[in-house]
Amino acid sequence: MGIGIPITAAPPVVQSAPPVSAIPAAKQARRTTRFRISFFNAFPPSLIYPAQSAVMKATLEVINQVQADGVIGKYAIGGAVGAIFYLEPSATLDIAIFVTLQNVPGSSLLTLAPIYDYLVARGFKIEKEYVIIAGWQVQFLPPGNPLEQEALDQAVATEVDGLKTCVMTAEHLVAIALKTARPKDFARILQFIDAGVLDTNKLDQILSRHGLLEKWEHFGDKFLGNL
Amino acid sequence: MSEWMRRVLASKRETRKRLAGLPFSEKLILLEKLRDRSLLIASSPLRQQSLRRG
Repeated sequence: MGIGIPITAAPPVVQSAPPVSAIPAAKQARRTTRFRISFFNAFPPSLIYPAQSAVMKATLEVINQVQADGVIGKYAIGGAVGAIFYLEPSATLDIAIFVTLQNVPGSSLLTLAPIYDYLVARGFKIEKEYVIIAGWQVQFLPPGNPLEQEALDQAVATEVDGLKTCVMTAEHLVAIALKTARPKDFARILQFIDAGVLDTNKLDQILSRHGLLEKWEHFGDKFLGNL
Repeated sequence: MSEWMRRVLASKRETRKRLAGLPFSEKLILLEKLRDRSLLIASSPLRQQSLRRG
Protein backbone atom coordinates (compact mmCIF):
# COMPACT_ATOMS: atom_id res chain seq x y z
CA MET A 1 0.00 0.00 0.00
CA GLY A 2 1.05 3.57 -0.43
CA ILE A 3 3.38 2.96 -3.38
CA GLY A 4 3.69 6.08 -5.48
CA ILE A 5 2.11 8.29 -2.84
CA PRO A 6 4.12 11.45 -2.22
CA ILE A 7 5.13 11.56 1.43
CA THR A 8 5.89 15.06 2.60
CA ALA A 9 6.11 14.50 6.36
CA ALA A 10 9.50 14.03 7.99
CA PRO A 11 10.34 10.38 8.63
CA PRO A 12 10.43 9.18 12.25
CA VAL A 13 13.73 9.68 14.04
CA VAL A 14 15.43 6.31 14.53
CA GLN A 15 17.71 6.17 17.53
CA SER A 16 20.83 4.01 17.48
CA ALA A 17 20.11 0.63 19.02
CA PRO A 18 22.09 -2.53 19.85
CA PRO A 19 22.22 -5.22 17.12
CA VAL A 20 19.09 -7.34 16.91
CA SER A 21 20.96 -10.58 17.62
CA ALA A 22 22.02 -9.24 21.05
CA ILE A 23 18.42 -8.64 22.20
CA PRO A 24 16.24 -11.35 23.79
CA ALA A 25 13.18 -12.40 21.75
CA ALA A 26 10.58 -10.83 24.07
CA LYS A 27 12.43 -7.52 24.04
CA GLN A 28 12.65 -7.66 20.23
CA ALA A 29 8.89 -8.14 20.06
CA ARG A 30 8.29 -5.09 22.28
CA ARG A 31 10.71 -3.05 20.17
CA THR A 32 8.93 -4.07 16.92
CA THR A 33 5.56 -3.08 18.36
CA ARG A 34 6.94 0.28 19.54
CA PHE A 35 8.38 0.90 16.06
CA ARG A 36 5.03 0.14 14.45
CA ILE A 37 3.20 2.47 16.79
CA SER A 38 5.72 5.28 16.20
CA PHE A 39 5.54 4.65 12.43
CA PHE A 40 1.79 5.17 12.39
CA ASN A 41 2.10 8.26 14.59
CA ALA A 42 4.67 9.74 12.21
CA PHE A 43 2.75 8.90 9.04
CA PRO A 44 -0.97 9.54 9.42
CA PRO A 45 -3.27 7.26 7.40
CA SER A 46 -3.97 10.05 4.90
CA LEU A 47 -0.31 9.87 3.87
CA ILE A 48 0.02 6.10 3.98
CA TYR A 49 -3.14 5.29 2.05
CA PRO A 50 -4.16 6.60 -1.36
CA ALA A 51 -7.01 9.08 -1.73
CA GLN A 52 -8.83 6.64 -4.00
CA SER A 53 -9.51 2.96 -3.49
CA ALA A 54 -6.73 2.13 -5.96
CA VAL A 55 -6.25 -1.45 -4.82
CA MET A 56 -9.92 -2.42 -4.84
CA LYS A 57 -10.33 -0.62 -8.16
CA ALA A 58 -7.45 -2.67 -9.60
CA THR A 59 -9.15 -5.84 -8.32
CA LEU A 60 -12.44 -4.90 -9.98
CA GLU A 61 -10.64 -3.98 -13.21
CA VAL A 62 -9.20 -7.50 -13.39
CA ILE A 63 -12.62 -9.06 -12.71
CA ASN A 64 -14.19 -6.85 -15.39
CA GLN A 65 -11.48 -7.98 -17.81
CA VAL A 66 -12.22 -11.63 -17.01
CA GLN A 67 -15.84 -10.86 -17.85
CA ALA A 68 -14.98 -8.90 -21.01
CA ASP A 69 -12.90 -11.84 -22.24
CA GLY A 70 -15.94 -14.09 -21.89
CA VAL A 71 -14.54 -16.33 -19.14
CA ILE A 72 -17.45 -15.42 -16.86
CA GLY A 73 -20.88 -14.03 -17.55
CA LYS A 74 -22.64 -11.62 -15.23
CA TYR A 75 -21.07 -11.22 -11.80
CA ALA A 76 -22.14 -9.60 -8.54
CA ILE A 77 -20.31 -8.69 -5.36
CA GLY A 78 -21.80 -10.45 -2.35
CA GLY A 79 -20.73 -11.18 1.21
CA ALA A 80 -19.23 -8.55 3.49
CA VAL A 81 -18.01 -6.32 0.65
CA GLY A 82 -21.48 -6.40 -0.92
CA ALA A 83 -22.98 -5.50 2.46
CA ILE A 84 -20.86 -2.37 2.83
CA PHE A 85 -22.57 -0.97 -0.24
CA TYR A 86 -25.51 -0.45 2.16
CA LEU A 87 -23.87 -0.44 5.61
CA GLU A 88 -20.90 1.10 7.38
CA PRO A 89 -17.61 -0.59 6.44
CA SER A 90 -16.47 -3.51 8.57
CA ALA A 91 -13.22 -5.46 8.33
CA THR A 92 -13.05 -8.38 5.92
CA LEU A 93 -10.17 -10.16 4.24
CA ASP A 94 -11.85 -11.50 1.12
CA ILE A 95 -14.21 -10.57 -1.67
CA ALA A 96 -17.03 -12.94 -2.62
CA ILE A 97 -17.82 -12.68 -6.32
CA PHE A 98 -20.85 -14.63 -7.49
CA VAL A 99 -20.44 -15.47 -11.16
CA THR A 100 -22.36 -16.97 -14.01
CA LEU A 101 -20.09 -19.63 -15.45
CA GLN A 102 -19.82 -20.64 -19.05
CA ASN A 103 -20.73 -24.27 -19.78
CA VAL A 104 -17.85 -26.48 -20.81
CA PRO A 105 -18.65 -27.81 -24.33
CA GLY A 106 -19.81 -31.42 -24.18
CA SER A 107 -20.36 -31.37 -20.41
CA SER A 108 -23.24 -30.45 -18.13
CA LEU A 109 -20.83 -29.70 -15.30
CA LEU A 110 -20.08 -26.15 -14.22
CA THR A 111 -16.49 -25.66 -13.26
CA LEU A 112 -14.36 -22.80 -11.97
CA ALA A 113 -11.32 -24.16 -13.82
CA PRO A 114 -11.57 -21.71 -16.77
CA ILE A 115 -11.38 -18.75 -14.34
CA TYR A 116 -8.38 -20.18 -12.48
CA ASP A 117 -6.66 -21.16 -15.76
CA TYR A 118 -7.21 -17.66 -17.18
CA LEU A 119 -5.88 -15.90 -14.09
CA VAL A 120 -2.94 -18.26 -13.43
CA ALA A 121 -1.86 -17.81 -17.05
CA ARG A 122 -1.69 -14.07 -16.33
CA GLY A 123 0.46 -14.48 -13.23
CA PHE A 124 -2.16 -14.41 -10.48
CA LYS A 125 -1.65 -16.75 -7.55
CA ILE A 126 -4.12 -19.24 -6.10
CA GLU A 127 -4.24 -19.67 -2.33
CA LYS A 128 -6.70 -22.31 -1.15
CA GLU A 129 -10.08 -21.30 -2.56
CA TYR A 130 -8.96 -17.74 -3.33
CA VAL A 131 -7.28 -16.01 -6.23
CA ILE A 132 -5.03 -13.16 -5.08
CA ILE A 133 -5.84 -10.12 -7.19
CA ALA A 134 -4.15 -6.83 -6.37
CA GLY A 135 -3.58 -8.04 -2.82
CA TRP A 136 -7.19 -9.07 -2.22
CA GLN A 137 -8.33 -12.64 -1.71
CA VAL A 138 -11.05 -13.07 -4.30
CA GLN A 139 -13.39 -16.04 -4.12
CA PHE A 140 -15.40 -16.83 -7.24
CA LEU A 141 -18.64 -18.59 -6.40
CA PRO A 142 -21.13 -20.08 -8.83
CA PRO A 143 -24.70 -19.73 -7.55
CA GLY A 144 -25.32 -22.82 -5.43
CA ASN A 145 -29.10 -22.56 -5.19
CA PRO A 146 -32.07 -20.67 -6.74
CA LEU A 147 -31.75 -17.88 -4.14
CA GLU A 148 -28.15 -17.11 -5.11
CA GLN A 149 -29.05 -17.34 -8.81
CA GLU A 150 -31.87 -14.82 -8.29
CA ALA A 151 -29.54 -12.55 -6.27
CA LEU A 152 -27.06 -12.62 -9.14
CA ASP A 153 -29.75 -11.97 -11.77
CA GLN A 154 -31.21 -9.02 -9.86
CA ALA A 155 -27.93 -7.45 -8.70
CA VAL A 156 -27.78 -3.66 -9.01
CA ALA A 157 -25.27 -1.89 -11.21
CA THR A 158 -23.01 0.70 -9.59
CA GLU A 159 -19.67 2.42 -10.14
CA VAL A 160 -16.40 2.59 -8.21
CA ASP A 161 -14.38 5.60 -9.33
CA GLY A 162 -15.94 5.34 -12.80
CA LEU A 163 -15.57 1.56 -12.98
CA LYS A 164 -18.78 -0.39 -13.56
CA THR A 165 -19.62 -3.23 -11.21
CA CYS A 166 -22.64 -5.03 -9.73
CA VAL A 167 -23.69 -5.55 -6.12
CA MET A 168 -26.43 -7.81 -4.76
CA THR A 169 -29.51 -6.13 -3.36
CA ALA A 170 -29.71 -5.63 0.42
CA GLU A 171 -32.71 -7.98 0.63
CA HIS A 172 -30.90 -10.78 -1.22
CA LEU A 173 -27.80 -10.32 0.97
CA VAL A 174 -30.02 -10.69 4.05
CA ALA A 175 -31.77 -13.77 2.65
CA ILE A 176 -28.43 -15.41 1.78
CA ALA A 177 -27.05 -14.55 5.23
CA LEU A 178 -30.15 -16.10 6.83
CA LYS A 179 -29.71 -19.26 4.77
CA THR A 180 -25.96 -19.45 5.50
CA ALA A 181 -26.70 -18.94 9.22
CA ARG A 182 -23.24 -18.44 10.74
CA PRO A 183 -22.95 -16.12 13.77
CA LYS A 184 -21.36 -13.41 11.59
CA ASP A 185 -24.27 -13.72 9.13
CA PHE A 186 -26.77 -13.09 11.94
CA ALA A 187 -24.73 -10.08 13.07
CA ARG A 188 -24.84 -8.71 9.52
CA ILE A 189 -28.62 -9.17 9.32
CA LEU A 190 -28.97 -7.19 12.54
CA GLN A 191 -26.80 -4.44 11.02
CA PHE A 192 -29.11 -4.31 7.98
CA ILE A 193 -32.19 -4.06 10.21
CA ASP A 194 -30.54 -1.42 12.40
CA ALA A 195 -29.55 0.64 9.35
CA GLY A 196 -33.16 0.66 8.08
CA VAL A 197 -32.14 -0.03 4.47
CA LEU A 198 -34.40 -3.03 3.86
CA ASP A 199 -37.54 -3.00 1.74
CA THR A 200 -39.67 -5.25 3.96
CA ASN A 201 -42.17 -6.16 1.22
CA LYS A 202 -39.39 -7.18 -1.12
CA LEU A 203 -37.66 -9.14 1.64
CA ASP A 204 -40.91 -10.94 2.54
CA GLN A 205 -41.37 -11.96 -1.10
CA ILE A 206 -37.81 -13.29 -1.37
CA LEU A 207 -38.05 -15.19 1.92
CA SER A 208 -41.40 -16.65 0.92
CA ARG A 209 -40.19 -17.62 -2.57
CA HIS A 210 -37.20 -19.48 -1.18
CA GLY A 211 -38.85 -21.12 1.83
CA LEU A 212 -37.08 -19.03 4.44
CA LEU A 213 -40.04 -17.55 6.32
CA GLU A 214 -39.84 -20.05 9.16
CA LYS A 215 -36.11 -19.40 9.55
CA TRP A 216 -36.81 -15.66 9.57
CA GLU A 217 -39.41 -16.04 12.33
CA HIS A 218 -36.96 -18.13 14.34
CA PHE A 219 -34.29 -15.45 13.81
CA GLY A 220 -36.75 -12.77 14.96
CA ASP A 221 -37.66 -14.72 18.11
CA LYS A 222 -34.02 -15.29 18.96
CA PHE A 223 -32.46 -11.91 18.17
CA LEU A 224 -35.19 -9.30 17.94
CA GLY A 225 -37.44 -10.28 20.85
CA ASN A 226 -40.45 -7.97 20.97
CA LEU A 227 -39.16 -5.52 18.34
CA MET B 1 -28.79 3.44 31.70
CA SER B 2 -26.92 6.61 32.59
CA GLU B 3 -27.21 9.83 30.59
CA TRP B 4 -23.53 9.57 29.68
CA MET B 5 -24.00 6.06 28.27
CA ARG B 6 -27.08 7.19 26.34
CA ARG B 7 -25.01 9.97 24.74
CA VAL B 8 -22.22 7.51 23.83
CA LEU B 9 -24.71 5.14 22.15
CA ALA B 10 -26.41 8.00 20.29
CA SER B 11 -23.03 9.20 19.07
CA LYS B 12 -22.12 5.69 17.89
CA ARG B 13 -25.42 5.40 16.00
CA GLU B 14 -24.82 8.77 14.38
CA THR B 15 -21.29 7.81 13.28
CA ARG B 16 -22.47 4.48 11.86
CA LYS B 17 -25.24 6.28 9.97
CA ARG B 18 -22.76 8.81 8.56
CA LEU B 19 -20.37 6.04 7.47
CA ALA B 20 -23.21 4.04 5.91
CA GLY B 21 -24.20 7.12 3.90
CA LEU B 22 -20.77 7.50 2.26
CA PRO B 23 -20.38 6.71 -1.45
CA PHE B 24 -19.37 3.09 -2.16
CA SER B 25 -15.92 4.08 -3.42
CA GLU B 26 -15.19 5.97 -0.18
CA LYS B 27 -16.36 2.99 1.85
CA LEU B 28 -13.96 0.79 -0.10
CA ILE B 29 -11.07 3.05 0.94
CA LEU B 30 -12.10 2.57 4.58
CA LEU B 31 -12.47 -1.17 3.96
CA GLU B 32 -8.89 -1.33 2.69
CA LYS B 33 -7.64 0.51 5.77
CA LEU B 34 -9.58 -1.84 8.05
CA ARG B 35 -8.20 -4.87 6.24
CA ASP B 36 -4.61 -3.62 6.40
CA ARG B 37 -4.90 -2.88 10.10
CA SER B 38 -6.48 -6.28 10.76
CA LEU B 39 -3.52 -7.91 8.99
CA LEU B 40 -1.09 -5.71 10.95
CA ILE B 41 -2.69 -6.69 14.25
CA ALA B 42 -2.73 -10.36 13.21
CA SER B 43 0.99 -10.23 12.39
CA SER B 44 1.91 -8.57 15.70
CA PRO B 45 4.56 -10.58 17.61
CA LEU B 46 2.52 -10.07 20.78
CA ARG B 47 -0.49 -11.74 19.18
CA GLN B 48 1.67 -14.55 17.81
CA GLN B 49 3.03 -15.13 21.33
CA SER B 50 -0.44 -15.29 22.86
CA LEU B 51 -1.56 -17.72 20.12
CA ARG B 52 1.46 -19.94 20.82
CA ARG B 53 0.64 -19.92 24.53
CA GLY B 54 -2.92 -21.00 23.70
